[in-house]
Amino acid sequence: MKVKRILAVVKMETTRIFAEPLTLVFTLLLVPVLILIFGLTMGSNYGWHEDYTVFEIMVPGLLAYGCLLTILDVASSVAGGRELGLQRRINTTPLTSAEHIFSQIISYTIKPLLQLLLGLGMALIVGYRPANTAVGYLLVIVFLVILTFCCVGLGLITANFAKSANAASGLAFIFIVPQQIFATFIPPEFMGAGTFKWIFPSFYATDGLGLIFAGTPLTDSRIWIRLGILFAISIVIYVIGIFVYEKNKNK
Amino acid sequence: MKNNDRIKKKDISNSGMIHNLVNSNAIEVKDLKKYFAEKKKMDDVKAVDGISFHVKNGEIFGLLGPNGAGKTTTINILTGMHSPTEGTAVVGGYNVKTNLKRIKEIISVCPQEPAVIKFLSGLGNIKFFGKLYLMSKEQITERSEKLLKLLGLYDARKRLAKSYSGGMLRQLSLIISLISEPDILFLDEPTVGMDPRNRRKVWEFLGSIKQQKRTIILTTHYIEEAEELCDRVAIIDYGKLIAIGPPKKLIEEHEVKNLEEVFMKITGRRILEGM
Ligand SMILES: Nc1ncnc2c1ncn2[C@@H]1O[C@H](COP(=O)(O)OP(=O)(O)O)[C@@H](O)[C@H]1O
Ligand SMILES: [Mg+2]
Repeated sequence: MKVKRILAVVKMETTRIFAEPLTLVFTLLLVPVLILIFGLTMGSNYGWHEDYTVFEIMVPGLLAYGCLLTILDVASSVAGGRELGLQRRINTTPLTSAEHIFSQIISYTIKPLLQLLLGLGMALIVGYRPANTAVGYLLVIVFLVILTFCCVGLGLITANFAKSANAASGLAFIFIVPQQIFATFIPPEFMGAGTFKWIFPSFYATDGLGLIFAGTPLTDSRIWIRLGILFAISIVIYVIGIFVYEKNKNK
Repeated sequence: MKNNDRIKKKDISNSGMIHNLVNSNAIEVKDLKKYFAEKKKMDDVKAVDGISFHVKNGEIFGLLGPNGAGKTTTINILTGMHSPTEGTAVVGGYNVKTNLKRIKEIISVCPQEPAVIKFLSGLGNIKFFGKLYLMSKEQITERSEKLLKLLGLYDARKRLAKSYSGGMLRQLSLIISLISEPDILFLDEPTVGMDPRNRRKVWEFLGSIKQQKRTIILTTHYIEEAEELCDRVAIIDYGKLIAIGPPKKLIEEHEVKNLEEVFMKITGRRILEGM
């Protein structure tokens, strides 16, 4: 593993955020903007719960939603690279698979983390006051990094089925939309599908974040069970993702 | 790393230097086959069907043949993108099956499609690829300036590649493949889609590289390109090698005027037919 090569790929991938308007919106701005809108419109609406506003209930899911967009980012970037022959060209250089994958993980994790920071910042600005501690925030980051891993895997799987970057963006929503509806900021009870949510990785992150933000003691087993399940699902999906990626990388 | 994969190569560990491959061939290909399984057809597509040739060090070697002859597939095998169905391929003394990692350090490929990163500037692209070869900033700056000026892309170097014309993208793609000063350079249809003026410029440029003792393997379906640039050409058709040698010699042997007529005499078809 050569740091210079890894940094080169990370720099190139992060340049992409600001170079393509769509990437900029989806990987950095969408969640903060949604939080701003929901904060302003539902910050004093107690329609769902007597102690929490609708907005407060939505925040954990909105943050998880930001990670889900990684699927779109990864899928379109990988399928796009393949479409242009760029992936193949890079494969003829001394960059190793391990270096390539490692640097992609770094770049794909930086983006949702930036979005998370912007999103949380925005939430605090519009009046969100979570009851958690500093350690709680750390745990929030752990949850979302693991979810991001899972989404990198889903993105790689999506790219496998798409011939072009555009097709990949479309396909990515097959993974994004159901999770968004059943297991992020839209309460599943409202869709009459509460039982579905258990199959979606994003549910475990959203629910874990909800518990943390509500001030649940960090020793509470519910938090750790959610983290454990999320971790297990993510590892499986991630390994499948890397497998299909490796199989197709010279296509 | 198995040592016996290495054929007569004096090891110069100082990377970036042109490797000393005296008395050995840059490339050796023997009975190479690549069959692609086609779901809808009974038979496999025989993209490369048992070809053998070698390329000497410092030589410009051409793979000439019509569309679909198997030129790109051959290059893809030599650069590790496809594994051969049968046969052996040795590049720079290393076997493609066992020592790809070493091969990647001494080769560079300019693919058929101008694969550049559209959201980076021309210079940004060059820097990115230079870093993948662990070149220093100074090396990259010095070399890229020279190449950009030589190929007339210097004034456009800071523009995003997505604003480049087709010809400019090809030139950039060529520069990228040269930035690492590879011992062995693969050029897949390097001047396709270029206007005659730029094509001439690239030919002159490739001719000047020749003095640097760099081995170049280029594929083309332009007869002129093969005749003008190549020390030797291999003419391939339907995955088979049908003639090999210096262009002049092939033309003399077949008592014709150019390589096109050589191809015609052997196959009864024109190279550009059906393009
Ligand atoms: N990945 C592939 N799968 C199936 N067939 C392929 C593949 N790549 C190339 N071929 C076929 O192999 C033949 C040779 O292709 P190619 O090497 O690209 O020719 P050339 O570069 O000389 O134009 C063609 O018939 C092409 O359709
Ligand atoms: Mg070709």
